[in-house]
Amino acid sequence: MTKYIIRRLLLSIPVLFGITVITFVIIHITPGGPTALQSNMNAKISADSVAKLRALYDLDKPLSVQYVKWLWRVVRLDFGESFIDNRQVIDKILERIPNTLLLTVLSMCVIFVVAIPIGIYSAIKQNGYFDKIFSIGTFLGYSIPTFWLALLLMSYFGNYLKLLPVSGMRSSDAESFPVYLQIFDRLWHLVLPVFVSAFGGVASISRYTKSSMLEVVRQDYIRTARAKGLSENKVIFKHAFRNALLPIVTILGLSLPGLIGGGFIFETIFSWPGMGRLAYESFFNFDYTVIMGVVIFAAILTLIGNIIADITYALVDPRIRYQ
Amino acid sequence: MKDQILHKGQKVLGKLIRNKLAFLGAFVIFVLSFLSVFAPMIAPFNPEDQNIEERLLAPNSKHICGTDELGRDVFSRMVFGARVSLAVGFIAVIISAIIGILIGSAAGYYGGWLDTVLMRFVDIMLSIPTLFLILMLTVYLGPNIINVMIIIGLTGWMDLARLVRAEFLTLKKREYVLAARVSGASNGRIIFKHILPNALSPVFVSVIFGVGGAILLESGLSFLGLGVQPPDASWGNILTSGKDYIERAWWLTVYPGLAIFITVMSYNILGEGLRDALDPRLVE
Repeated sequence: MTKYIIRRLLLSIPVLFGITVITFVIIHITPGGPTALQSNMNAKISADSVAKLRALYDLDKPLSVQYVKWLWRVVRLDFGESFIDNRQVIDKILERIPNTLLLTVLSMCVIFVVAIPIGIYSAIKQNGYFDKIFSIGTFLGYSIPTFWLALLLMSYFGNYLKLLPVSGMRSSDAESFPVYLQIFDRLWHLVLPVFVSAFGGVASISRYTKSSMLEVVRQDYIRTARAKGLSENKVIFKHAFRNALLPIVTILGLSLPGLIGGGFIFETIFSWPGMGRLAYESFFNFDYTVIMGVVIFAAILTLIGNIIADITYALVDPRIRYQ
Repeated sequence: MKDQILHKGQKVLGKLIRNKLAFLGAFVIFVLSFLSVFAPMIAPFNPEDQNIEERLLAPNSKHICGTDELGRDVFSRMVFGARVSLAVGFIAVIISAIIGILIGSAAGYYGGWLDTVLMRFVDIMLSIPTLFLILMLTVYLGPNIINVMIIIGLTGWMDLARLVRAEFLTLKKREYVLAARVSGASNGRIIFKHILPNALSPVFVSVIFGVGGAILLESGLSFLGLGVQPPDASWGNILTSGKDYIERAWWLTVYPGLAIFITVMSYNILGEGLRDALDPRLVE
């Protein structure tokens, strides 16, 4: 197992390297390089910022030297200073990461807990009423613009019913609350963002679960299990489900970039102070060093998520470890 | 050979028409395309005409979808928005399809180190969350209609490349490929004339789904102000003002959102129907 983990970690080094190359290329491939920001608001970018960017990217040196110097700084997590408040970019990102992780991990849990039972049930009762409703439901889930859903829910539960908070992480007077109420307050603020960000994932993961279950139920060992007289529950949950779970673990890992990227939209809508919102604010503040930092960090988070998914896969499926 | 293909095409078309839902999806897409092509003739008002006296009017007989905060007719803006959304979806997907097909077929056909390098590249692209990749490209290219098409196209080809590669891996072992090679066909000819036509049905299905996805993405980006910029109308940026007036003017939020929802769903239904119609395993 240790050997597998080490090999998996080594395999992700070239990917990490590639991420830095792509980021670097995007910065430099645009006409004029990083200081010629073609956005239609670039009138605001000051001479001071241009000078800073020039120094940050060593623009007077050859491209290869620029890349190596830039990479060396990235490896030490030095992304330079923010244009807005001159703070280190890395500090600004690190204070936002826990909020993003909270949202992402909770959404992931919701997806897992909701989507898998739904998928299994509609596979067991294939073509039944539940399955038909399920098919329509996943269709709607795939097609609905989630930011629009967020707007509707915000206006209904927040503005109309005044039931759920629609922005931020806690009430403004939360600090005067007793601890248990503070926790409750935090959870209350999480309801809408987590619901919306898990929504699309539930549709796709339950679908994968269903097709994965249908695939497994057709296998010979399921027939054997039934033939030797096991109860249907045992057949489904001990024999079928465990095997159907394997591809789902991978899919969950693959859905991570979508969740982190989606956070960009939902954090913005719900004023959730995470990494996505930081990137969004930076975009309109022309704070380019922060955007670069966030992009690289989001990619690293995704990479870590994928490694965890692969290791989980190896833990549940011994065949993988010995390949 | 040609007759055979024609015959197959008729069969697929027949199946598609029998699938009522898919037919409905295709019909909606047709109507939308019609609306967007003839937008100037269909829209009752100029989508950019402001009228201070008619601000935030609820839907009525003159403005069937109401007016926005500048007194512009929402229905007219939506008709012109359909133009933007469909064009962005369509062109972005064509860009993705070209890149995906080229990379996927090269990787699948040649194999070896080229395959390794290209697929690693795909892995790397997939591990940067798409929205952040888009944000970074938008920073340097600037947000406008053309760039949105290019950027969505440049960041959405990876799944297609994997799909095409997988098709090529199985197809390149077929006898007709060997026959073509023996008769002296060049690699390019084998890839584009012999293998690719046989790999097209899953590509086609994925492209149809891709248009829906691209429209969804464009509307999200425009909603956030990273896509189509005002005064150009797009379903996404009508929603931006809808957000600010949601308590006073529900029509600014409900109608454009429904338009996105129905359009994307039509593409998904059509894609699903096509997949069923093209899937050889489902042939009776």
